[in-house]
Amino acid sequence: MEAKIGKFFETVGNFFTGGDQIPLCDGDIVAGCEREVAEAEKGSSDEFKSECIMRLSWALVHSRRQEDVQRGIAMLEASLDGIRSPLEMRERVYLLAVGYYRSGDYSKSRQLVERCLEMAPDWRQAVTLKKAIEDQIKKDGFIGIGIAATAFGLLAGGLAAAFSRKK
Amino acid sequence: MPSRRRTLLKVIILGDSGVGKTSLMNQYVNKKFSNQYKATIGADFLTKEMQFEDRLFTLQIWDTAGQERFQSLGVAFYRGADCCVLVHDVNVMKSFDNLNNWREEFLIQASPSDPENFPFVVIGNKIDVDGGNSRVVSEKKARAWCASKGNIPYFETSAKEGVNVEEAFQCIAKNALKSGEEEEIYLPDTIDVASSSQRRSTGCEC
Repeated sequence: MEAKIGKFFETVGNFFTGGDQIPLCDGDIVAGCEREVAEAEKGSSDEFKSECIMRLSWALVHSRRQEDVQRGIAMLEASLDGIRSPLEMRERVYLLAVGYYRSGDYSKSRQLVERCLEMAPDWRQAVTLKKAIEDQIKKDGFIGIGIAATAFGLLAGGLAAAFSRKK
Repeated sequence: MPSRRRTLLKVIILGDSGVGKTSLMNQYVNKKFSNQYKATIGADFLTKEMQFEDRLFTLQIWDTAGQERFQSLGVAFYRGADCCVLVHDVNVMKSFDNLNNWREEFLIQASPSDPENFPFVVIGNKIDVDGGNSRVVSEKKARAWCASKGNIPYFETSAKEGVNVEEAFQCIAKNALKSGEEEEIYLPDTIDVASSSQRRSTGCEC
């Protein structure tokens, strides 16, 4: 019974604080990836450079800082043209979906995660991300309804007061 | 009235690409299995509420990418882990040979405060394949390695058929709880100003 209550509180708490299962990346990890990319520029193979950039993209879109997330999105968008393999495409699209999710563009994120699921219907990470997006949209909807209801309530109250004064 | 305290325990699952890390986690948390293999990108995690004796805790299970491409991101995931699970495929010798590398790499990157006693659990997965006929890593060999590394608990599992998965994770949770640093999320039922026994372990005044 206690476990159920605990679970309920956790669900409610997560709903309002946005607890999700997408990792958050610290600044020092991002910095480490940047250094790696800078080193790789000095004459490593294309494949290695591309792997370093992939890791940096992962770190950026999962970063706690918005400016990192935005940079990650820009890097990934720019790289979409040069994609050779379906695996690379899947990775980039997923990371982009995470980036847009973290930056609050839920409809764009959802479009991208749908694409992921078209490519790989059983892909757990994509399913998890999709749920996170939908929960966020619902939460925004509730807040929106809450604001609308409050505004309506104030308006109705104001009108009622105005009418009663006229009498 | 006793207050409800919850503890968060972080568990990392490591191992070569394709040994079944994601499937093990999925089987344990969601009781689901899919034949469609799709490599994990970077890492993510699932949580499961557990009860042990009279305590509630949240097991945060991190599923990491086995591919080399993501390995140097390891520090991002390993930080703060309370237990590390090393997985190999009993039908692939290389995945067993690499367990040593995974263990060493983890200890280097995670830098636990007490590396000698950091809890590991080893899982030999995919015991169901071909009725066990294509198996190359014997139980004896695996147990010997585990014993040599400080008596690491060993489990043989099939994520596909759900064999021994629950038992393995129960052990993982117990080990994490025993030696992990507790991160207490303090949730008092009532705010009892008079009680002197209540202490906020986080020390923040919010």
